[in-house]
Amino acid sequence: MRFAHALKKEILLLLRDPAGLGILFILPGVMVFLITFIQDLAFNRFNETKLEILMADEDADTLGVKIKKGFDASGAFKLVTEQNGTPLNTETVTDLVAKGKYEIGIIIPKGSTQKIRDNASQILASAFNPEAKSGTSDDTSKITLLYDPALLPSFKASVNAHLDKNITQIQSGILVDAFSKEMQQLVPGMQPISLEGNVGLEVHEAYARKAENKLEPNAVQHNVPAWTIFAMFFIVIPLATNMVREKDNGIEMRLRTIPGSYFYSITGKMAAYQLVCMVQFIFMISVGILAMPLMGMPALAIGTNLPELIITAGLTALAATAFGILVGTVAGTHDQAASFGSITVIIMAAIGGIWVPTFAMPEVVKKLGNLSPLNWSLNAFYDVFLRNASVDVLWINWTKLLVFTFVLAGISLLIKKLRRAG
Amino acid sequence: MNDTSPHMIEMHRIRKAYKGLAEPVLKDINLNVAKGEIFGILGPNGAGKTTLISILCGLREYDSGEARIDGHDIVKQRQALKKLIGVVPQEIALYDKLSARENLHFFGACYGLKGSELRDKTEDYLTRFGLEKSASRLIKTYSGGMKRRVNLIAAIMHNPKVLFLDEPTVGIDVQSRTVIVDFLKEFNQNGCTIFYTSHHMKEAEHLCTRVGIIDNGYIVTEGTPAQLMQQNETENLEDVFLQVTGKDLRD
Repeated sequence: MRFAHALKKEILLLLRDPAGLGILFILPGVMVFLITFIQDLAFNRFNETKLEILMADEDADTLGVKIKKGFDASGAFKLVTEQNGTPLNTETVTDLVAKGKYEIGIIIPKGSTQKIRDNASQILASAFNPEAKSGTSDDTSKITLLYDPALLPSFKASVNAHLDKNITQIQSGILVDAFSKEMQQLVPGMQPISLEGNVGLEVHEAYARKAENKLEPNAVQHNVPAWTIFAMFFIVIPLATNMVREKDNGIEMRLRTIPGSYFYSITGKMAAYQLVCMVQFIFMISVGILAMPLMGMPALAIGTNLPELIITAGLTALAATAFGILVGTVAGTHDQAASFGSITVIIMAAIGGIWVPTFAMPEVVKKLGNLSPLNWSLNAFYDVFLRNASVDVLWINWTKLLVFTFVLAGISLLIKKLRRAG
Repeated sequence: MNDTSPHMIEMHRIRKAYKGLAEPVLKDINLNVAKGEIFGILGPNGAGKTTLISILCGLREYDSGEARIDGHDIVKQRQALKKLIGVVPQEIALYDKLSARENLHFFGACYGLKGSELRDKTEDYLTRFGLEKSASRLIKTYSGGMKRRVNLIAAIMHNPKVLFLDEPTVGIDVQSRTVIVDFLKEFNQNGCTIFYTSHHMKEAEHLCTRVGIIDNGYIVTEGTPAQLMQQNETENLEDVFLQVTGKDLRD
């Protein structure tokens, strides 16, 4: 009965706090939508819209043709070689990239192909005749890549890698051509060697997962759990400030003079916020499943391990609530609770991989991230969402969350006890 | 001190110090309050009135001495003690986003009341204190006097044997003060011992059967208001207070 009244009281207080509800529901809902939309857009832009690259082909020989062919075949880039019907040159490419109208420009200097041919001939000549001089660095042709300073490093790395791959193939092709010509002179009637055909090796990309796992990784699958956890941990702010308010206005003192009521009040509070977290979880999952497709994004797939998903959400909610109780116990003022609560959650989210994957972080931050409850929860959600994992995998992160909850609740009780003695 | 004592509250050589303060707040408190009394504890700011009430309510531990309420040791029998007492804090210890009725239902339920008993008692007290028409309004919309009245009701829903009040009428109008003081007298006549602190000397003179003045960690004088006025040859309690505690400002 006392618990029911405590729970009812907390729910009424929450429902009558529109600002708190805004923090708990609207803010994370908007964030997950916005971030996923932006990431999805960037992903689509890279994969579907094609990044336009300017090319000034001063060489006007095989090299330019092969580079264009290679980039066009990639599907990710579109090479632009002329503007308003006029072929691009070094000056126009430099000018357009400098003005930020295009992000990347390639300049192939005059005579590049010939230099490669000459070098190839020299390499072959030195192979057949060791006395012959081989190619020197002075004979190297330099292709210039111009970048807009605002270009994302990931795009830059991608273009670099693609060009490197292209050039290796082109050099091999020219070398094989030269070798083929030499051989034809030595062996009359021999057909030219061609590298155009497939020699039986290609790269196949796939996600490492169990055969029964049909979940497709995408921005939605990554962002919805991440922002759900962030939202759940944000209950620290209303919970802690609510506790500080109870301290400030004497309610906590009154409750501590009523037999057993403080226990019921705290458990009622925990239950109410646990309930809020689960509603947040359902809300965010619903955004992923129902609202994301309305914006042209893929729908969230929650997999088949529903009990595991609910347990993961429940344990995350417990950990968040316990953290809120601790912040509320330690904080002396409303401002302390709000600022300390939000800053610690943001720090734990940042190092825990909520915004940037932990694998992309420096080693020290990665180690720190392993201590963040948001990281344990995120890993557990990814295990369910992306790997369709079950208890045998999930128990480690579940245990971490549970231990975190009990340790924090214990510390809160200890602080209360010490304060009464003080 | 024993269980057959005629005293409801007994304190013997209570001492309490806080870390960081040069002197103990309570140095050697010896005090007995008889069953059925309205005892007022008066003192300048920082004299230790709130600490004394906090110790008696089991909210703070004391360093040495012994204290009992209705024969129960206040440290060893804290849970039993809590069933006997009601506490009206100095602050408005209510949820301002709940209505008066919702607050009283919550605190009444905390005291173990349920069902029709909880509902009936809530409505009775709301009517008794003239709050029945505004019972559904949120506490934040109440005037200071209305809040003080609900603050008092929340502490008496379970009919405590001892009621502790820490400045229950601070900052309210004469009408609300009169309602509260009259009610406390009536409640006392029904068998409740009242332990009360105030800075309002006239109110204490009017309400209390006995008062004690605390200063510098000691109870410096105690007796009925009439006795104290006679001993100090004054016409009111305020002059007694000034004579006993002096006119120096306190921090």
